[in-house]
Amino acid sequence: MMTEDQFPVLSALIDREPLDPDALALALEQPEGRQILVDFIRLREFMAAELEQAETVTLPALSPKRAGASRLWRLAAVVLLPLMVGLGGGYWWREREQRRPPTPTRVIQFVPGVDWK
Amino acid sequence: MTGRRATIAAIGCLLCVSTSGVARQPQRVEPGSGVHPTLVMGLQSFTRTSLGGLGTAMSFDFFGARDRETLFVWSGSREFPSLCAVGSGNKPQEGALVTWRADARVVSLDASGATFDIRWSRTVNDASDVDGSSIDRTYHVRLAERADQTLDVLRTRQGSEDCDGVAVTLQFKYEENQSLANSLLEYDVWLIDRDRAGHETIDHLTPRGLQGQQMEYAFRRIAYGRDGLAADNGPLGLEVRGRVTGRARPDGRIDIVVNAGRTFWLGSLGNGDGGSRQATVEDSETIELELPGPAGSVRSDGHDLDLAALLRGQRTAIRVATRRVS
Repeated sequence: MMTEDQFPVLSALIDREPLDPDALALALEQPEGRQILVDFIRLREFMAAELEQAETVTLPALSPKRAGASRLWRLAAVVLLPLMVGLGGGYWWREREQRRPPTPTRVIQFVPGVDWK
Repeated sequence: MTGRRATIAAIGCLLCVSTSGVARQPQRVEPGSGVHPTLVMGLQSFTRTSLGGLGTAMSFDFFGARDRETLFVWSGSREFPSLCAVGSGNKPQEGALVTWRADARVVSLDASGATFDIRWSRTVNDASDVDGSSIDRTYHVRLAERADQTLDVLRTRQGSEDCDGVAVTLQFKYEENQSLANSLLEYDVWLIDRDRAGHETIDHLTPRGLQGQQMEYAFRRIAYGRDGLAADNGPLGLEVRGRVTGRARPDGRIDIVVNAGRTFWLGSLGNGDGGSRQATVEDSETIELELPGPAGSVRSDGHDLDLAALLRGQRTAIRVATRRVS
């Protein structure tokens, strides 16, 4: 009968790790042991295929969330940049206008010889 | 020329003369109601070590309908026969060594001073220790507010450590309207200088002062190059400074007096001129005072630099906005 203690020897076989041949022989004598070994091999094939696909596909295609975030940033930049430029320009204009004196209601001229000497 | 033409020409000439006469008069504004025009006559003794010894003063208060006053100041008495024993009153002192009498009449008042007809006399009753004699003078004078004017100086014959002589002074001032005396006024004062190429330099100050208080302002020096254009490190410096004085009126408007002085500097040599204008403005109203074009010259490398020619097209103006804070 296959016990849980016999699974690690099958796993070590798949992973090409050192193992006890007697324990392996015992595990393979059991139908469940052989079935587990087959399942292990199928799982390894499946993982190998997945890894191969991951190496041939570009990052954006793999990251739809990232693509969405990028579009959001671009949109924010398009909206916020003019807004920030406008605010900065407005601030500069306001500062400039505050430095300028108000328009006078009248202009009085000093007259040489009369009130200017 | 027919008689009618001659008459028209004569009237025309008269109008020209009267118009030009008016135009040559400085523009002045009447002070607001509530201020008391006051003329102070002072008598101050001085010694050889101090110009401020014993003193006395008497005020002419031209309040209400009164437009003339007579006051007396005197030196010495029977008890203290010294030129430096001074006194004052509205009647002469019997036994005084010297008596000064002044009869003053107000001719006109404005925001920065007043014009008076003053007849004054010095009567020397005892000339034994006085280096002077009796005199009588009539003046038609304009007195700027709070500016001391010396009317007379009289010395002792010998002089001493304690008493060398006395000086008679006049000072005109306004006693403030009690309800407005503590008014606080804020002035925005701008200098706007533009060279002939249109480059503008603006400086701004905000002095604050109480009713009738003279507030000084001084703008940073503006440099001009030898081509007559504003230049950061030019050798010619234009300096504008002055005083602004305001007085809130009961009607809510404000009387202001703006004094401006302008100096062109070339190294340590300068050429200066200046003037004073007054106006009645609304609260927070901005007015501009335009300075005349530069005139005269400054000495440079042994020859005169003609300011009018160098700075033709240049314009300097001062803008003032006055606001009553409280």
